[in-house]
Amino acid sequence: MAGHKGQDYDFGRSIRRVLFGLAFFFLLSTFLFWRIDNPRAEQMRISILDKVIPNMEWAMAPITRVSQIVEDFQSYGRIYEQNQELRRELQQMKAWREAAIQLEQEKARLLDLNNLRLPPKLSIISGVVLTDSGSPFRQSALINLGKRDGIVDGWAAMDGLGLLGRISGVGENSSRVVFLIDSNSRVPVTIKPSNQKAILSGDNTLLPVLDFIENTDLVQPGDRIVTSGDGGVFPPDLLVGQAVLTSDNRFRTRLSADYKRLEFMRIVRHSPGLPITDPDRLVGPALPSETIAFPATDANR
Amino acid sequence: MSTTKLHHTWLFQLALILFSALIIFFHLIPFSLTPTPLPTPDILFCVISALIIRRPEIVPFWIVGLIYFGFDVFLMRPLGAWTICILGAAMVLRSNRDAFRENPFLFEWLYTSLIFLLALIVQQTFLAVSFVPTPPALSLVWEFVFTAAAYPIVLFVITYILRIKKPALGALGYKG
Repeated sequence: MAGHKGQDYDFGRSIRRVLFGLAFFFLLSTFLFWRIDNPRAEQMRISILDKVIPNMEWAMAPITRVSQIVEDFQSYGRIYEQNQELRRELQQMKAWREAAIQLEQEKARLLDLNNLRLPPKLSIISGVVLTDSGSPFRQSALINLGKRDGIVDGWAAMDGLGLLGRISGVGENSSRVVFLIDSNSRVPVTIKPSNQKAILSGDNTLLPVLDFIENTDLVQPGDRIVTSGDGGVFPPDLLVGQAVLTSDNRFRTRLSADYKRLEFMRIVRHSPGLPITDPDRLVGPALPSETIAFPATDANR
Repeated sequence: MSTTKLHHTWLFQLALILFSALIIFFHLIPFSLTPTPLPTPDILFCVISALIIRRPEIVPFWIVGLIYFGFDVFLMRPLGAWTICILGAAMVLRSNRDAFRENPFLFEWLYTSLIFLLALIVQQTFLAVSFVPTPPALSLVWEFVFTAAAYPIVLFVITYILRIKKPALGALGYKG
């Protein structure tokens, strides 16, 4: 009897071992699949998230709301200071407003002189942040806009003021926004008064690095940084932030977008210009088709 | 005694799955979208290893695999890498289960922490070998420290609040 039981036990154990091996194999092949065909694996992941996350909104909303209320309560503690600060800022803003109005009038006059036609305005679609990336090593968020709303991979995401990141992974009802601070984010930018080109590369801190600046002498802390539009992913001249010089003697960017209190974001609809595929069409006028037979006449002579 | 135990097994399994769903949920809530320098402890590893040592029938490997694969999918991690490491760690713990029965808490704490550290190192090497960008080493050290620190707390909750204890030395049925 005891021997029989022992046999049973061994049998179950070996089955378990085989299943364990199968699971191991499955996981390994999943990892390899993810590594080799990354876009497709990420697409599958986003479709899973797309099924699950929007259903969790009812549970997420109250908790998110409570955390915000707690934060608001904390800010009551220094309401007087804040009030003073706001008054000071308001005073400064009034001065700036005056300057802006004057500049706007001047700009209108100049545009009128040039008879300039402005490009059609970029249109914007707003969405709500659903979830965080959940990992300390990935800086991204899921928003409630997807294919249904016509979202396309690569479009820029902004808060009211500055660039936040770009769409990477679109599901039916949701899509993922990879932030500029993610360590995989690389964005071509222009540093404004000097028009130096640089690459803004995230490194998991709130101050992404400005890489590949041609001449750092021309860059001052406080310079405005905007997207350059190189590479055709982002439209040019979206505000990114200001240059700062950190103690390790590198230029970094203080982003204008506020990641701390992010609830909504705006996705900029943008269709990049047609790519130039034929280099020879660029130079000279379009020639009639007879000239293509030129080598033949050459041979006759 | 053994029938009531078996009876409760699926209940505990359900609770474990719900608990892990809760953890994923808390990771995903957009509390703050700014980068945090310090990682959170892997509470679930503490729970699973404590249960493997105490009541291994609650945590068969497929539940561990399922939960951790869910983590990989939802938390934007490389699919499968961390799950493999955790499954390996769970296997080591399970096969050395008998050693824990005779030894005191300190040994258990040290052993599970070391296994966790080993899993982290294996994962880091695995990712590095396949040219996947790896998380910074310092934050992994912190993850290890936090997880090791969380283990006694988790153990306290499991032993004294959920009342799941190691089988005493004499109380072994044929299931071992």
